[in-house]
Amino acid sequence: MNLRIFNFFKKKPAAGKPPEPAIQVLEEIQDLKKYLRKQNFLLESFKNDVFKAMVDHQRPRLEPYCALADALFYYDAALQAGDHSSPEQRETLEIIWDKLEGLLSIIGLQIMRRAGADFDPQLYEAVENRSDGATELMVLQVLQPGYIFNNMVLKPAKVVVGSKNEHLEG
Amino acid sequence: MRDIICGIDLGTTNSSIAYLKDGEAVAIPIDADQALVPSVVSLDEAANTIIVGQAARNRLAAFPEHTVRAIKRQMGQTTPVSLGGQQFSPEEISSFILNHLVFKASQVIGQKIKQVVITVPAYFNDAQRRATIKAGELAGLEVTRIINEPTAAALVYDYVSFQQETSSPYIMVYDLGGGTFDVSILEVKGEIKEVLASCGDTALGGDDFDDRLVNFFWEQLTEPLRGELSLNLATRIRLRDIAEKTKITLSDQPFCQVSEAAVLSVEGQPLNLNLEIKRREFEELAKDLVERTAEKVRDALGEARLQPQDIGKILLVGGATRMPVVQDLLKEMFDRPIYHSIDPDLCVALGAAVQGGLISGEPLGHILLDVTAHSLGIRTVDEIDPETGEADYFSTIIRRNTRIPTRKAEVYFTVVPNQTMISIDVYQGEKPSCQANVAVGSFDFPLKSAPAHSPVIVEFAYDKEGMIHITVDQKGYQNYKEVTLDIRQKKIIDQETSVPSGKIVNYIIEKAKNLLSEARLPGELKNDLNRLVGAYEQALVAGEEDKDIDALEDELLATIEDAEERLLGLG
Repeated sequence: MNLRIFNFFKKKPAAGKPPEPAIQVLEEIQDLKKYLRKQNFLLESFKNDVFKAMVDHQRPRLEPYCALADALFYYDAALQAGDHSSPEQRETLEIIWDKLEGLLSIIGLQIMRRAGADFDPQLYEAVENRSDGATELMVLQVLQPGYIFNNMVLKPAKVVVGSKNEHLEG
Repeated sequence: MRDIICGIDLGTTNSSIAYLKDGEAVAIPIDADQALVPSVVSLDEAANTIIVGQAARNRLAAFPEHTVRAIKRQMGQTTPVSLGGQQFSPEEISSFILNHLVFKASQVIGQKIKQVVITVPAYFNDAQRRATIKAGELAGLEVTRIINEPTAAALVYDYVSFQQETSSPYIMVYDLGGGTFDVSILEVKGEIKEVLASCGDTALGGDDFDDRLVNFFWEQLTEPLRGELSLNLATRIRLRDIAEKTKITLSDQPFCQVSEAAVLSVEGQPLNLNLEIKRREFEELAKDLVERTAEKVRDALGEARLQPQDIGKILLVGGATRMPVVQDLLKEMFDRPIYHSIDPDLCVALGAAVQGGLISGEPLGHILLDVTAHSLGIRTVDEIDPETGEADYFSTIIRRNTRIPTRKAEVYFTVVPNQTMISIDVYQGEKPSCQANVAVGSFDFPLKSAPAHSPVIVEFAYDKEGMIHITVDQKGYQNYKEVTLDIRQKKIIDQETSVPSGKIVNYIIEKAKNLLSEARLPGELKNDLNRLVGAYEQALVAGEEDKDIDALEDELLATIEDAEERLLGLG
């Protein structure tokens, strides 16, 4: 085995133009840095490609899960409209939701169906703003649920937003 | 690394960017792997940042004072656009979109983009074109050329490998997008494509077709309530989504089953949307919209002083041209080849990339597309041949130049009560008469007893190996049949009657039969599987020797495994 021993006690060259071999080494280091950056980029790109392929492969399989969750969401919303559901019915629905969300989490799918979160345009698509020009907004009502699959937004939730401050004060 | 010139389609609703990769134009995925980026810009004042694309669109209703869309309509105007407390020129807003596209595209392809070709509508005046160039410059780009959108579309089709020769120098580009419609007529003079005429309707697009379905669904929902309800925002949004999904399904299928739970709530009772809509019903609902495009086509022909027969070929651009009714209209108006095999949403950006390649002198290869060389369909009795007195109408199921693999279906109707059989005669060609086309295969389909005019759906699934998997379904009678047709050899190679013909003998056969119904399975493998499953089933039923059954079972299991692996590989 060849071992290179570095002499750390060797004097540094005097200030000024570095000797030729040093320039060569510096250039090599620059090149290596460049290759490393390129490799990192390629690795990142490869990771993205693999992830995309995985999501694309999974997407058709996720659709029936999303369709089932959608159906429950709308049924729940219909019962809530006008407060026609009893506390027992609400409890029943929440139990079903818990079970469904547990099932979805097993396959890496997360549903965005609850109001109360800060408005984030990466996760939500606002369809109505009930504030009077507030800058800090929150989700007041979810009209259509959204889905996240392994940290990737498959579909943003369509929401009604309002002033966060007004809501907190209220 | 050599500098590249990207092509950008700076659209009213969406924008996209493309470049030449190894001589072939490809669109670059930008946000969440989508090549189409909403042309929406929003200012986040708190963070002092400009947001572009899907996230900006998501902010549109939340921060309407800080967000702008369809800036293209204001290009060339001097009126500034307010985003919150700041004012921007339309060129600056467009530059944000360009900057976003170029920045993201550079990350994806790993190369800095400095030069671009940008497309504009053919009707853009000089001020609008100059404003577009300025937008590019503000984005730090060198705009090497501004080209017309229809010219870009025509350019990309110049490099498609399957072009049919035409003696006419005139090309019509029919562009039906989400919110706008444009029709242009170009004259090819050597390397130059001159726009002779351009007409359009800035308030007509695919969204209007969705609206017709929204209204239809709303009527169906509220009919029992005698219109006592008004359409609120939440329901409108829900119905728009359902309408869009339905429209997409009806582009390939003659029917769409809409099953949506709790679309409305009336006194705590959910109202469901559970109905079947036929493509013909949808087309009837949108008939006047299609006619409006036809009027513009006639205007463009008049402006160019041409007759329909003068046009050499027709190119389809814009996502809404995927609707068969559009292709039917053009087929009726012009007996000319219709090109629609390149993604109509990305066609313009791809053409701009081709222009970029021509400017930089990059070698351009032909875009190799697998498309159907001829229209494919079956013989029906819609019309009788006057000479022979025989039923001879060629009903198209898959149109010429459709990109494969593809799956298309049409619905037909029986003629007499208790009809016992229909003959599926498959032809390829472009003539309305079957006799003038080429017969490629034929088989019979036994019918169950049913009244006259009962629907029968015929579906063609055309795969890349040149096989057409034909499924015939007597709707509502659990009676269907699958046949594989080798289009190159013009012969039926596999027939599988799937009429519930008795109990499936065991799970291995069940699994094999499930695989046989998989259209993506290569024909050769399907043949093997079909032969083995038949032999195995027969051996079991006939009670043959155990060792023979075991040998067949081993072979069948190995083939099943092979088929499953192949399907997995196909994704």
